[in-house]
Amino acid sequence: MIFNWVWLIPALPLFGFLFNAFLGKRVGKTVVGWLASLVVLSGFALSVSVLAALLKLPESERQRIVGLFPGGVVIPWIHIGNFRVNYAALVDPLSLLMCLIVTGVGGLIHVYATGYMAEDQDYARFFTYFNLFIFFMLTLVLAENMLLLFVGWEGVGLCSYLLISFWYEDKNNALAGNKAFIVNRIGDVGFALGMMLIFATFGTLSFYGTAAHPGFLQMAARHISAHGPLLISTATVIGLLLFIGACGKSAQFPLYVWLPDAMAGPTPVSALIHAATMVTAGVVMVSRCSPLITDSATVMIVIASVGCFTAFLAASIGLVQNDIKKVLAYSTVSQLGYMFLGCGVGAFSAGMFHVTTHAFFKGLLFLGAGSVIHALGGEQDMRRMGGLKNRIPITHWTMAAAWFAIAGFPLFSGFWSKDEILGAAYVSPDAGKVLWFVGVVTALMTAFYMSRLMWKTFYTNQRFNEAELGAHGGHGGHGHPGVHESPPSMTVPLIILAALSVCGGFIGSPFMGDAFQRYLAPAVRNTTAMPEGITGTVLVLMVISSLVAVAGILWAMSLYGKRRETGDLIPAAAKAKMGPASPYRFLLNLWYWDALCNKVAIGYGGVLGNSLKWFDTYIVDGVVNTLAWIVGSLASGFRRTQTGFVRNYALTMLIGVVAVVVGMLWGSFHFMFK
Amino acid sequence: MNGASHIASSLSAILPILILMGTACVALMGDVFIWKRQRALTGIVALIGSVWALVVNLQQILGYGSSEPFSGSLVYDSLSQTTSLVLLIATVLSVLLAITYLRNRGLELGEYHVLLLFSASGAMLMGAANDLIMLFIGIEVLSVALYVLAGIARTEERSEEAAIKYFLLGAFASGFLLYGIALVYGATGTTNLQQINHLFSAKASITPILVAGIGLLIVGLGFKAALVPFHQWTPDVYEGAPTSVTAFMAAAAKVGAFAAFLRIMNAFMPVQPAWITAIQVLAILTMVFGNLLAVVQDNVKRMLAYSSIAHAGYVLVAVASTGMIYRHAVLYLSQGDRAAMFYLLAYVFMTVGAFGVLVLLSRSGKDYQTMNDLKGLARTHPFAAYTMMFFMLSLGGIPPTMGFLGKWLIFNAAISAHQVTLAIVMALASVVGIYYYLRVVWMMCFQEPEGAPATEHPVNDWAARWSVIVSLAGTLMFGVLPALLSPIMTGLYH
Repeated sequence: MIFNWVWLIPALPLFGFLFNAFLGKRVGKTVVGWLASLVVLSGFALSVSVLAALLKLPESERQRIVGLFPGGVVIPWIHIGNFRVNYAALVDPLSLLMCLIVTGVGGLIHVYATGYMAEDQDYARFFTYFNLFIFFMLTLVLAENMLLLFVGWEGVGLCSYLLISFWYEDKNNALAGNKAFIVNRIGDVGFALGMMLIFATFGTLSFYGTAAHPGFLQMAARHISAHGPLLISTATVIGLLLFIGACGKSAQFPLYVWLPDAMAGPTPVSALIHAATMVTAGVVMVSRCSPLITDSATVMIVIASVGCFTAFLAASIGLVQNDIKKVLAYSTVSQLGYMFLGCGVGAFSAGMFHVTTHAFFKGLLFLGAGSVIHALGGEQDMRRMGGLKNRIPITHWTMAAAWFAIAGFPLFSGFWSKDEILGAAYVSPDAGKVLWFVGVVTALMTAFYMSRLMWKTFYTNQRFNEAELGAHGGHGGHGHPGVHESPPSMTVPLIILAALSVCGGFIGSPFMGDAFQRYLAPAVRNTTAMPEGITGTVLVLMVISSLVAVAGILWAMSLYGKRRETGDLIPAAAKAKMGPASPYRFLLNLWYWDALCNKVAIGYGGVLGNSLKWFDTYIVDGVVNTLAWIVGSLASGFRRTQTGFVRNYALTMLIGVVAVVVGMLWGSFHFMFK
Repeated sequence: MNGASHIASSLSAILPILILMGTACVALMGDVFIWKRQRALTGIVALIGSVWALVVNLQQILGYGSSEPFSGSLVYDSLSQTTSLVLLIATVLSVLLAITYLRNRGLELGEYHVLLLFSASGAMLMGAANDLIMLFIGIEVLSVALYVLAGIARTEERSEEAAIKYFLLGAFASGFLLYGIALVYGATGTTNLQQINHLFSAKASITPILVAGIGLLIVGLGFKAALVPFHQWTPDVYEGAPTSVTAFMAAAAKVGAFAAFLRIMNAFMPVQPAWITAIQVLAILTMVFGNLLAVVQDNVKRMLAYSSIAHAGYVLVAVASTGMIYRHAVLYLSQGDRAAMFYLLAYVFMTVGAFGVLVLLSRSGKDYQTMNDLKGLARTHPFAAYTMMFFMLSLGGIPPTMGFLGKWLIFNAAISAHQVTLAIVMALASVVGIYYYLRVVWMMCFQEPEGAPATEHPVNDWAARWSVIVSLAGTLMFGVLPALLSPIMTGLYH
């Protein structure tokens, strides 16, 4: 039975983690890199066979709970009173989809990293963290209950922190790691509170259960709780708390600020963790909890609005960034906003579809950017790039595929998934049309900033001095000079991901009968969907999307085509004259949101912190130190009883014996002579 | 049941003990007559024997049987089987610790392992005793072997001193125990624990003789378990004895004593009001003084000795919350008993592990002794330092270790048994405990090594290393997944 082997999917990377952690430095880079990639890729092979088995089952039975211990037995992990948590996996279309993405895209990025990190002296440490991340991510997506999901949730957060500050000698990297960790804590408080409220309301943390002991999602779907009918207000509070958690992890407004800084990590980390997998955890969690989330219309509209606004905000910031990874980071925030928009209007399948295609094209974009950085010896600033089209052809062509995909060019993967989300927004009630319109404007900006990135990097004239390459420091750099294409270990993953970015969207297209949506339907609870097939509305929306994408690309082409020399739309002199309120400055300074956060959180928070510090130093420590002093003096006093002489010990014993016996007799007096 | 089959079933019930004793005899004879100079072989034979006994013990546990061999003088139920399991684990770990260590210290004497096995079988007998006389025999088998073991470094004054102190005070305590047995016999007319229990269940009256007898039994066992104020031998003996002996002594004597404690206190359960206060007072004294005195120690072995006293106090809290019942010849353990057994296993892993790290660090002829010796250990001996760190965290009761879970189980049991005062004292005393455990971690990890780096590196002791690894694995694994123990420790989850 293949389901009894599911435990191996997370166990393999765990093994890789342990092996690399303890033996990695001894066995050499080749073994470390191969082993780390192999454990993930075999997880992919296993996931595919589990998927094949799952698809053979009738739709209503496509949900299995299997233990994550060897042999697949379900063993309770925690069992206290009526609080019972199993260390088990929920195998259903949603979790398997994520397994495939995490192990598939993750495996490719592992392979890529063997080339990208080849010159790094901390090679083993890198793959140790990488494998640990995969283990936690798989735990997260496979979890059978909220608590185990939380274990994975925190685990990936830890790995993200460790990998952002991987090059910890540079203080900025360490600070970026801290920022990610701290901002995520805010979200995690929401998640933890939501989880506690779920237990208080439903009496269980399992998603699904038996008829006798239903999981909380089954109860929520039937609008019942452990104490009678489920109140809409309760569902609303739980949903909002969970969404706060999702905002932290998936970088939504106002908690998105950590993600752009997270680009301080090595580029494969940005690709795997901060684009393809971890940051989508919030979307996965919200989709997993869709039977509960959809109970509250308030939560739905909040999710849709926040997602839509974040998509717009991040895309607008992405228009003016100069660091190639920063553009991609804001683009990721923006695309995550689309996913939440999809979830919020009730099209969870569409949201998950975008998670899937985004993993392909955004993973590819980051890897491509990494290849560019690699070729330029560590340079990340697009103002010092250009003219790379023929120098690194494989990187260029694969990135071009991803560019068309993310811009939503017709028939490319991103087109189908984005179109699905926008269509769902359009047909959804309430403010659906407004959300759709903002989404379309964002799509236009997306096409524009991606084209800008491509032009600045590849098509404009060369703006760097080849002799100085690698002089800027940075970590992509290595020994050999000059611009050069990356080794096959890096280009092969690029090519595979490029193929998926081009064709991967067809599984969810009307041509294949929305196969993706039908596959996912049993695992999520969609309340809105695009009408099936190619009907009037669908066709009109598709045409509008296509036109917007093409327009964005053409617009950027015409603007940058005229400025091949500088690769800059606004001359430097004009920039200098602009005041802080000008649109360019406004966008370049990230809508001043980060500055405001600093002002409020660091400024006023600092005042609060300092006053607490005073209380801690003088009151708390004073009490503690006094107590410790008392304990210490008592102990020194009693120490003298230990004389070292047997006669004294025997005397103490004798006194003890007399005390025990006399005391007991005295105490039992009234029993004996009642 | 006819005589022959009764004897056969009796023997099969005590098979683990027989294996241990048989191995001891074989090892002794082999050491004297066969492999004379190959002393390591004695250790290996002892290891094989104790692992074999462990396997048989596991089979018995999984067989879920219970019996009363030898006309009811012993009882084999989940409590005694679990006790045996804990003891056999301690034995295996201790044998592993000693093999290379003895050679380094020039103590490679064949009788070492022989005495260790005898001692372990005595402790197992204590856990299985259903009769006060059997209990006494068990204690003496355990103790006499331990007296010799404590003084096995014959050329060292400290070791001799430890042995003599232990022996004199031990004999003193045995006297009280024996006197207590005599008084109980005088009051009840039997030494069989089950009969005593039935007698009181039928509302026999409480007499002064009986109360004094119970008091002396508590004192006698309290000495073995190192309860305050019968504890003063502990630091001197733990410090003076060779470290591998200390590891075993700390584990085995305590496990045996507490198994007997549980058994006896349950026999006297109908007259609980007569003794519960004594246990409570002893528990409080033990927890408070054990922890307080550990704070001011500069010698690691002495610190661990006081810490073992403090842990005895915690287990005594569980004893105060005991209350097992037989129903249809099956033993049902209360929350307190289960907590005690779980804690003892945790205690074995972390104590033997902590002493094991000290064994690992010992250079030929010299033990690591003072806190200052530990300075900067993380830099010089990372394996020893980081394993020690986990044992310290576990002893201090910090998750995700077994020490935390055990303490929590006892705490829970005490609350359920309405021993709220004990629970509160236990929590406060644990706070003091954190100080001296973390001090070790601080010394190892946050202090620079003192003086010139040692020129003489510790010997690569693989056997001891494995012992420490197993202890660490146990401490962590059952701390995260206590449920793994459920099929093994039947008494725990019945």
